[in-house]
Amino acid sequence: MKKKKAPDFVTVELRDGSEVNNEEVMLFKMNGVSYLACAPQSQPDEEGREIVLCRRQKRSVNVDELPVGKFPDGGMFWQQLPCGEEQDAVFAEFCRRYEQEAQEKRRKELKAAEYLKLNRWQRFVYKLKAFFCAIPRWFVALFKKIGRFFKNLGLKIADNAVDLWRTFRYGSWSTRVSFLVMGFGNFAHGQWLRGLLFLLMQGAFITYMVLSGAHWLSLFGTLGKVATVEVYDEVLDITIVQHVDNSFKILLYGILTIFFIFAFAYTWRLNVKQCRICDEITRSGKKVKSAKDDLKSIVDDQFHKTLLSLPVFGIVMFTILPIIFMILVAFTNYDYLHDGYNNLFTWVGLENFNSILTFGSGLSVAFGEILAWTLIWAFFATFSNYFLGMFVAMMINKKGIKIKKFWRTILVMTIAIPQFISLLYVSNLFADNGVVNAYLIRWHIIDSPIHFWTDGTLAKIMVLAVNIWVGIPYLMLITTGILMNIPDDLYESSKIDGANGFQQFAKITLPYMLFVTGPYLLNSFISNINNFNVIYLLSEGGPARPDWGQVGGYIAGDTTILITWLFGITTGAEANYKMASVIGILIFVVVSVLSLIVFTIMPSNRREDDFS
Amino acid sequence: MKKRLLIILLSIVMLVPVVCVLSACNGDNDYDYAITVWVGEGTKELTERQIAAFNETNEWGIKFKADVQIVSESKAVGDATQKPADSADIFCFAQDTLARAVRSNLLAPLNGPSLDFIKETSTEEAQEAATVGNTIRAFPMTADNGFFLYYNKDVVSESHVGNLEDIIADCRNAGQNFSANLTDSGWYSAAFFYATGCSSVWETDENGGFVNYTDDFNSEKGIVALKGMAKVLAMGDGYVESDKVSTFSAGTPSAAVISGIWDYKAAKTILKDNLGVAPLPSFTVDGTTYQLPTFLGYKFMGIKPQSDAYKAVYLQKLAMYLTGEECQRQRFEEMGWGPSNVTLQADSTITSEALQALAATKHVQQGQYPTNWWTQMDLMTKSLKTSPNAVDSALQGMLTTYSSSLHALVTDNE
Amino acid sequence: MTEQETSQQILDFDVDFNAAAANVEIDPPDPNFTQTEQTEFRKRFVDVPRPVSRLVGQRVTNRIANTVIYIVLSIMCIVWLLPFFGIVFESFRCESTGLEGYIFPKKWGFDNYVRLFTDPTSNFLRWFGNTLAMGLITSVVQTAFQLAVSYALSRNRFKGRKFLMNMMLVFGMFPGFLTLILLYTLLSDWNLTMTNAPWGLILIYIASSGMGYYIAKGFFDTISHSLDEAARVDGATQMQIFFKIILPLSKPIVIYTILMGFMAPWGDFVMATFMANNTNNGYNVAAGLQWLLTDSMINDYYTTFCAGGVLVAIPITILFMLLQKYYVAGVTGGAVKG
Repeated sequence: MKKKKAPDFVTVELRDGSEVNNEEVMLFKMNGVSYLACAPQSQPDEEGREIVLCRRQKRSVNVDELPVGKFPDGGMFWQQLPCGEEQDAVFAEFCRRYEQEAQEKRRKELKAAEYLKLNRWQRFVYKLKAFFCAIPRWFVALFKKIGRFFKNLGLKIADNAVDLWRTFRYGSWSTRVSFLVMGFGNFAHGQWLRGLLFLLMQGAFITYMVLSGAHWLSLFGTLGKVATVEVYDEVLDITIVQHVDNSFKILLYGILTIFFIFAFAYTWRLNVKQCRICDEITRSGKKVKSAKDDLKSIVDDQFHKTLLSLPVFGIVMFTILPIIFMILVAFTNYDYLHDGYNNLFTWVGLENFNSILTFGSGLSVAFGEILAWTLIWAFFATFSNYFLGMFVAMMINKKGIKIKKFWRTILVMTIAIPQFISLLYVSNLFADNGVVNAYLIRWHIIDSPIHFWTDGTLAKIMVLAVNIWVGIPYLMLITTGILMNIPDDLYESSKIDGANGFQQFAKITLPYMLFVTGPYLLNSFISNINNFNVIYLLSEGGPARPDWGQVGGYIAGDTTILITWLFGITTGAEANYKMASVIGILIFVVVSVLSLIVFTIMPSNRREDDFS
Repeated sequence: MKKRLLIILLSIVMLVPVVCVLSACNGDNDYDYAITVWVGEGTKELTERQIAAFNETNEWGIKFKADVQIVSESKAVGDATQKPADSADIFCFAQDTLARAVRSNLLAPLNGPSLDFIKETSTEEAQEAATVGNTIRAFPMTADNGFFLYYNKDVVSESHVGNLEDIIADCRNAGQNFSANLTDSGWYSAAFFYATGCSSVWETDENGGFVNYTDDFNSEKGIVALKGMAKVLAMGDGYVESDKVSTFSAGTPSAAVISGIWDYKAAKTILKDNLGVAPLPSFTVDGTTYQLPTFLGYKFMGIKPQSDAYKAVYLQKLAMYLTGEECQRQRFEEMGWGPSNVTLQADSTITSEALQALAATKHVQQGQYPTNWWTQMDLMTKSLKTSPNAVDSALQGMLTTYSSSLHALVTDNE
Repeated sequence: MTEQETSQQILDFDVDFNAAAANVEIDPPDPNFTQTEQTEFRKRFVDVPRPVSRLVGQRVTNRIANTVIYIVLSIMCIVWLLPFFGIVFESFRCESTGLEGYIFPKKWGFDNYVRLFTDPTSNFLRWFGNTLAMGLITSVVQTAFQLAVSYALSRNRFKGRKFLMNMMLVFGMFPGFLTLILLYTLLSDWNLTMTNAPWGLILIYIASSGMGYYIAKGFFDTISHSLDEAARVDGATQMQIFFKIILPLSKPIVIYTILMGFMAPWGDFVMATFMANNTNNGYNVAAGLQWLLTDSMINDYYTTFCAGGVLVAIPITILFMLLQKYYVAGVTGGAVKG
């Protein structure tokens, strides 16, 4: 039975400004008292929350003053003040529905007692069934979430529009002027600092748009008309070139202008909102915040904003903006022949994605195989390092091994040495004419050099092996600390019960390690997908695979992973930036999908109580 | 107190390298233009001296402050394409990248005096090599971009040098290798095709785009060429994919290396008196003998398009000086590079063992090729390497794959 | 055990397990047990005399296992250190400069080290200076940024916090090389490439450093809020709380972040090569040494590379070993909690 959606006028806005949507919160009435119920996930913080009930009649309530209760499944609820007759019916309905759903859920799930009766095999089958039944629910939940996101977005925009209209209609004259001249309302209320800042922002924006913004936007659609113009100087008998349009710059500054426009729109909205708040505060007789208050709050309650301002600015300028730029590049034909400076590039839409994703084209075959190898590599690299590192840590940790510090120090020293030196050296060590082959031939173990890096399969194995060499000390370090945390009496008691070493490992050590380092494993897996150093320095992408064709003058190879391919295309002889962007986007898709999946499956999120 | 001392100490330590690096940046201000120059390996000091000499002796009193960097000639155009705004003002590049340089608008148009200079001091061939469309685009600098055979006299006897099979046999008997970069550089492998009479000619238009091609690699002659190449590739581990003379002294040394004149000095250092140089050998397939030719290419000096007219003029004067007779002679004396200057080529003292071997090799004038053409050759030869004893039909398949990929290389189809 | 204690234990590195085990109570004393019942319990279940044969058998298998482990560990140490010995030996080789088929030099000498500093192509002093400057400046500024972001995100549940964290997570999933060309163009407009590449690289490193806040945030999360509240009662502003109370408590994580920030430029060759655009003076140590190993240079400069590698590895290793305990504290304290 579907849960009925709450009527639109009931929203819950918490003090921190975030909103809790209707799926997670319910209003209902029991025994004549109205309650607000929260689903178990959205537990509140220790701070009180401000609850706004009906949008049309805002009322603030401090939750700390209300009695609090707990549902059997852990959801919390507060009492709230009654809001009106018309809501009573709704509340009654919610109450009834809630009870019904809880009953259904209880019927579907096996009772704990029944579950324990099943033997291991049946339990496994039950878990499997539950998992697969859950999958369609995930997809439905995902689509619901996406739909909800857009709906909330639309609602928010409508909300803002309504608010704007009301501010204009009911606001004071200074507020109305603020719609045109930003900061005027603040000046009128005596907040000269804020007013000045708003005014400056408006001035900067207008100046920028007039001087250069309009220019960049006008060219944004075509990304430039003329790249260079040759001018012949008769006196000197020389032809010089004048650069006119630069597609690169147009794209870049176009994006910046659009950013700026959005930022300005946000600031303008902020300005209007503040005027309205000032009006309300003045009407209710209290004092508005003065400039001195603002300055004080920079180091006090707004300190987090102060702390975040510079780093976030840096991130936006140097990470977010470039990534957006490169995403847009994937829809152009920017490559070595159309470099934007000497030859313009322009929009081509989805053509690039077509070429890589059409089933059967040479490029898609290469992409498929490289993707497969990337995932295999990440999986083996992560888990081989993990288990072997843990194994080594356990060995050193074992009672009776002397000079533990010595063993650990030697292995840890290898972390310190910069990776590129050791990897470059190892790469040359195993080259066809390198030391290892030379010694093996000299000792008559083999007749001709083993092609460590030029034989497809062997190169893959070598890359994994050297990665183990690089990774074990680091994993050993991490797991040592955690291993020491496991209380010894667990082992002692299990030994009394007759467990041998392997059972101890499987039942005590492994679950504990997996729980504690679960997130770390995920991070490690994701970072191994993008592990550029090891593969590039060792084999440069492996023995080339001619049957995959070439992109950007770079022939991918057996040990190429997605990021090596991206690098090869970006810095190859015929840099093919558009394909590099496409591959970058695809890497992102892969990584994000994997993260989502693993994060949802991760047991450590749910079973935290089991270990106490 | 201690904390304060520590902070002061840290600041000083932090500032020292900063100051060092900054002070290194302050050069002299006594120059007219600051330029970047890209030259090949081994010529950095020489070029700096030459530019200093130009600063002293030029008739206009122009002083250049040149930042000379080492960039391999085959990479120069690629690097310039990647970052066109920051590329070198003067750069040396190999002939096979000329069309691409023109296509990417990396070469400034040459003015009257420069064109006259080139016409006067370069051979017909050099002028034609420097032409794309109908205009000369760059200054010829060296005329020795080709390859020939280096060999170890102890292993390969001189009488065998003319015959590829004999050389292979000598190598095998001595348990040594044969080095030739046939599978990672279409430049060398094309020799086999030209030996059997195939040719691949690409026409360019005024802008460096490729408009048309005539290619008959996919033919009976092509199969013969592949078979000839397979003789070397069938050596298995005896074939070393390298054109470096350092393989002479590897663990399992090579007895013969196909390389060019740039390696002569290094080869002489390794093998000393045992070094032999000879023209490329010939190979026999099905009873007919074919002589391997070499691509004879040039190295050019190009100028980036400028927006300052006076700077452009003086840069051309500098380029004229750097590719003039005096400088080419200096390059020959220091590094053994064969000059492209007409006078020097006629001069009988300007020659060496290696240059003679190169001159004695039959050569094919190198035209312009799309960059991906070399990659297609690589793809084909790499497939051949995996199955050197393939039957004719398989070889035919490789040729068909190759020739069907050429269509995409015509500029409009890119 | 609290975080501090765990770290402390790891730092000590040689906890005596036997002594520790002897102090562990097998069962907590149950108040419901009477004294006699307790002693009875102990007699029956705790102080059980173990059969001698089982003890002896255990001891023998234990000793065999230990010997095997010692052998394995020794082999591991040799294998792990082998490449470094290789580099050190090859850096002393004087008779040839290219890739050879043996490790032990026939002629020993310091030629390669001298060449590192005198040969204009292997501009080691300049590279080293560049990298040192980059490391010092980056470490300080990066630490400041990361601590600021971590503290703000950890302490304050402000509006837009989730949004910010999600944005950083999402944009962190894009590969770093994607934006190389754009960053290059930006920097080149500001004249921060080629010879000035180190400064451009510093700008890039510190600008995006805020995204690596996870470890420090994990650490700040473990500092109890009651400290904050006590200070607020005394009338301290947030800024004062941060600088006077929280920071002094976070010494391990601060040093860890500084160490990580310092070590980063020493290994980054991709960005350095790209930003330097073939200008020798603008390389950092990693780019420069890697350039020495390209096809056209390796024959003349392979041993020089080895010498350079040794000279780079030594100070980094010493620094790392000195600050090792902070590294361990940071990694185990922050990393595994996610």
